[in-house]
Amino acid sequence: MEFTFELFPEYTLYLQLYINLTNSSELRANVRNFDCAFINPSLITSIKHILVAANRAISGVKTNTKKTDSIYSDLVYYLSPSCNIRSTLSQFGIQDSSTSIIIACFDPQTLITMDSAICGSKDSLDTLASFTNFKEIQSIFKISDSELSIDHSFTNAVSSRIALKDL
Amino acid sequence: MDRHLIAQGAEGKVFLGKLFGEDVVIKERIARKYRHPLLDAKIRQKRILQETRNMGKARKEGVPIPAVLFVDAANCVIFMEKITPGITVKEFLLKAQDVSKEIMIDLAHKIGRNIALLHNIQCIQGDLTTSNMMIKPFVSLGAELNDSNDIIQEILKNKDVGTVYMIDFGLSFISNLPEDMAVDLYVLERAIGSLHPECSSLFEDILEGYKQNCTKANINLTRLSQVRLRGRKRLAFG
Ligand SMILES: Nc1ncnc2c1ncn2[C@@H]1O[C@H](COP(=O)(O)OP(=O)(O)OP(=O)(O)O)[C@@H](O)[C@H]1O
Ligand SMILES: [Mg+2]
Repeated sequence: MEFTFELFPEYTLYLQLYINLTNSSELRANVRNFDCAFINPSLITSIKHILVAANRAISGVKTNTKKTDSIYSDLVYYLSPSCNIRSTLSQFGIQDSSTSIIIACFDPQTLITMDSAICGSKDSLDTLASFTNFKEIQSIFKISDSELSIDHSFTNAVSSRIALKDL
Repeated sequence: MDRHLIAQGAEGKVFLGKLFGEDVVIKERIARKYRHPLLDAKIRQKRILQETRNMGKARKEGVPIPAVLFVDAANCVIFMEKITPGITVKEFLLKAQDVSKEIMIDLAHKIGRNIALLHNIQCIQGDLTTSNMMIKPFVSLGAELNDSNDIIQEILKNKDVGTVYMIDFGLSFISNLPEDMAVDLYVLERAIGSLHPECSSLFEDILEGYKQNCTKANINLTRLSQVRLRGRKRLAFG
């Protein structure tokens, strides 16, 4: 699936979900050699969660305020509420034990490269919600029940934190 | 990018636009020509960060606040969730006819609770008026709400106004002084008195909701009576 950004029309984000992953440790060891972000689907509330983070990552590139050395690690960094780069990248990125992963990139060509590097099967992002561990998200993002009761939207709670992160 | 102006206040402009394919509200702080451009940018940036931080803090406490989606700190722009369907409390009170006591009390209690939760975290809203609050009604299945009249009818149909959002934190600040909290309430009392004089018990009912939820209600309300006295003196002799 592809997504555009109203504020940065020169960017298009491509997303692909893989399940039944069998070579995650190999992929993890080579993360830096791929031009994409690896995203742990269990900590993603919705596609919008990824778009909010990607928007911040692009903005960081445009304003020279990148947090890490690449737009893709920035994207993963902005998925999380934590300012600890290292732990965020492993928690919200790929782990040796990952059996499902979302690939995110700004170049459609990368999707083809990744398809041959990944041992697993493609799945539709419509199934995203079935991977989400809402209980863990609530604890990582410290979302109170009273905040949830405002509109019952995990994505709104998560977006507000990401939008304000490091400001 | 497509956006259209919906409000122009003293502090800034408010637009409707799109972000991530959805309708959003875009709030921009305008440059002040009389200030040095660099200093002006710094001041506006500081205000916008204060505004969004306080929105985030308040939301965590459970005060209904639009979700912040992106802060363009360099250009002093906030992108936030559009409250929709929604109507400002001001427009609702001015236009709705035959509002039941039940609805008025529900609305008042929710406003009071919101202010109490803000004060519990030492957040002073700074500009409590009925135009800085919005009602998002519970929408019954299949209902189509095209304009404010439809929204008003939907609210009146229910026994519950729905969710009352606090939308404007442009003048908010952090303080633990009872005086600041009392003045916050007093500003609202005066605003209601002048804009909605027919809603005679609205403010008292708001205070009821405030008392039930504010940990320091007694101190702050005692202070409020002093602020009122000062206010009257100022009116009489000022
Ligand atoms: N999140 C929102 N969703 C829907 N409408 C909104 C939202 N935020 C603001 N508005 C609309 O825009 C108007 C002005 O917004 P806001 O109060 O935040 O700005 P302002 O500059 O203080 O304007 P004013 O001086 O009129 O109070 C509101 O009264 C409301 O009608
Ligand atoms: Mg306002």
